[in-house]
Amino acid sequence: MDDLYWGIIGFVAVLSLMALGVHVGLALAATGFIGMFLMTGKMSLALALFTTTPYSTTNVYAFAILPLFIIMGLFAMHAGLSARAFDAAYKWVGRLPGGMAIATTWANAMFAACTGSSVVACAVFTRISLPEMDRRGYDKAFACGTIAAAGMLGMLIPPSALMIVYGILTEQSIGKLLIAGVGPGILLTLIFTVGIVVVAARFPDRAPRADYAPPILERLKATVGVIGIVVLVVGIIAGMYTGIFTPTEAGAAGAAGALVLALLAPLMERWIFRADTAAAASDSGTSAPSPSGNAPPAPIAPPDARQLEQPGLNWQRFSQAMKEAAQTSALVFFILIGAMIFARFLVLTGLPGEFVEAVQGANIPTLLIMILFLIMYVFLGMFQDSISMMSITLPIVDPIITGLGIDRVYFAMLVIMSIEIGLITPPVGLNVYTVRSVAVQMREGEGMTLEDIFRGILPFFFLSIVALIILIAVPPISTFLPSKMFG
Amino acid sequence: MDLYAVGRFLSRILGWVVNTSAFGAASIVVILMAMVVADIFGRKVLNKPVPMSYEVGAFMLVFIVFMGLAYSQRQRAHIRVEFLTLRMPPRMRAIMDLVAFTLGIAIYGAIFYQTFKWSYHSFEIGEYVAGLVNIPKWPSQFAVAFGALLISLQFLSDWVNRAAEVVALFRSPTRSEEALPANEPTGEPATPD
Repeated sequence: MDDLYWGIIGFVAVLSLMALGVHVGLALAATGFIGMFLMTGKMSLALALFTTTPYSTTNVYAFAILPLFIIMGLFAMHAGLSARAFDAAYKWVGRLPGGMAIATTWANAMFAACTGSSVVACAVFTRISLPEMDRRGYDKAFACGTIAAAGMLGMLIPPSALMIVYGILTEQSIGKLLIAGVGPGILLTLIFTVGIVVVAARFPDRAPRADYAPPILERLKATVGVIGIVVLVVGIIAGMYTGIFTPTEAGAAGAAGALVLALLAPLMERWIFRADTAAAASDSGTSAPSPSGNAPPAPIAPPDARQLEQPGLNWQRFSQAMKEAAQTSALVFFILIGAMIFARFLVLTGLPGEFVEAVQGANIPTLLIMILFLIMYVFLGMFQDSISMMSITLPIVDPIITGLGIDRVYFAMLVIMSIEIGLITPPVGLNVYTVRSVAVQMREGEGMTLEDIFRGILPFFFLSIVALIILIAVPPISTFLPSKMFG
Repeated sequence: MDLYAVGRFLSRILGWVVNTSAFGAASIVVILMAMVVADIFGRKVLNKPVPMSYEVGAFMLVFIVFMGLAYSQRQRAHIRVEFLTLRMPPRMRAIMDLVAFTLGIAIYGAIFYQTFKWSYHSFEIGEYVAGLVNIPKWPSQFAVAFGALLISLQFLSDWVNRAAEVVALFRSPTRSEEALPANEPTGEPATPD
């Protein structure tokens, strides 16, 4: 029982150090080290944590997936994917109420399939979609809310940095977790789509209907712009699913494919979209809706051309992408090393086991425990970034969940969904902060406040709660694909 | 002798080493991608996999992480919770920074000391991963020691800079609100959320 107290003191220590602004990785490592020393009374044992843990945490082939998927996302960004995806999606769904918001969501889903970062998605789509929605008379708060909410997809649809970190922390198959994200990702996309249609139909002033239906040829042409990336994404997901690729190999193949697409992007731009750009250039003065009514709105490219970088890859962008991949890997593993040191100390305290016994002894229903954990994650997500939150909690939560007999993949999806909900909730909704910080630099987003965006995101908050409840109630959405997976 | 000049000189050297190391880490990301793609191609098409690619890939991740570690600190990219500290008065915040940097120096200093001994031992006894080709373990173990040393030096450099600011703060309390630069001087948030 004494050991148990050490575990609880350890948690309090980590949280206090973090609240005082100590780097998360350091707070975890320091607590693990000191706790180990105090519990065993042997400095040599405590120091041994420092000898092997940093090395054993990084010397794993399966973990090399992280830098690879990071560069894949950066290359996909330089391939101009996001703008093309938005263009294509809008041409197909522009007719629907709230068409542009739906296009933002779908383009985000497509972008999410190349990148594992909500923050990147939020930044990119604020630049692309906000001016377009503003031009069509959308309510800015609703527009920004859509962008911040759609950013949630980045963490659900594979590749996802969060899933990779989750897999590392709980020592389960990263490939299975990545594949499991497909179902919840599609579910959330559909729920957002339905929600947008309902909101737009109910409040037409927030999202004026465009009645924009370009000829089928134009739609197909826009689709060609994203076909390369779709093939790439489907290829790597199918490759992982059938066991042709290990997840790490899928990362490398995806990165190489995205690299090729980024290199080809300027050519694609010239061959396929030249006509669009030329037509648009003559049209670029019209920011007010045209009075004639049935004239189609200007194509997507021109007004944001000044804000968006030209797609393509040069040496500077390439080296920048590589540096960013190295830096992000370093900062993720900086935390993970601390988490592993802390976890070894926690194992010694026996806290997870005691907790499971206590729960089972008290006859508390497992569903209730699970929901309490999820509420905790939504709550923590309001203050903390996802990776540190998982690093602190998973070493204890995962053994408890396993002990209670809950499917680990299923629970992982619920946790990630809950964390994502925290990311769009005040006071520290990271997605909302990102959207705002980009928006205020733009003419369209001048004077936007966080409150505006939180107001705009409110419908999406409820929609995500609905999605979470559906995910809890219907486990196969999360578990069906990975259970049929090879290996 | 001018102590400040010496400090600036040392800090410039450290900056150069940290940046070079990050460039090395970035290059290894490229090599990793190329190697894994070559391995897939070799295995599926030529039926000749790249020998030891799993082991080498794992080693490469060690190099990427530890060679990029100090750079991330230099960019202020390592994740901290600033919910409370941003609401603290500048002096308090500066002191909290000093506490955090002290912990960084201590922990990564200890990691350096431990892993350096370990990698040196491994070098002496010639530890290797056996396979088609025997790959010595010490280079990747030494990379951990190198990265840990570099980041603890970076923490030390940050500590000294911050301490100088704290001294200035206490000398001229009236200007303190203006004098203190923000906690996040450079770099974009690189959190992969």
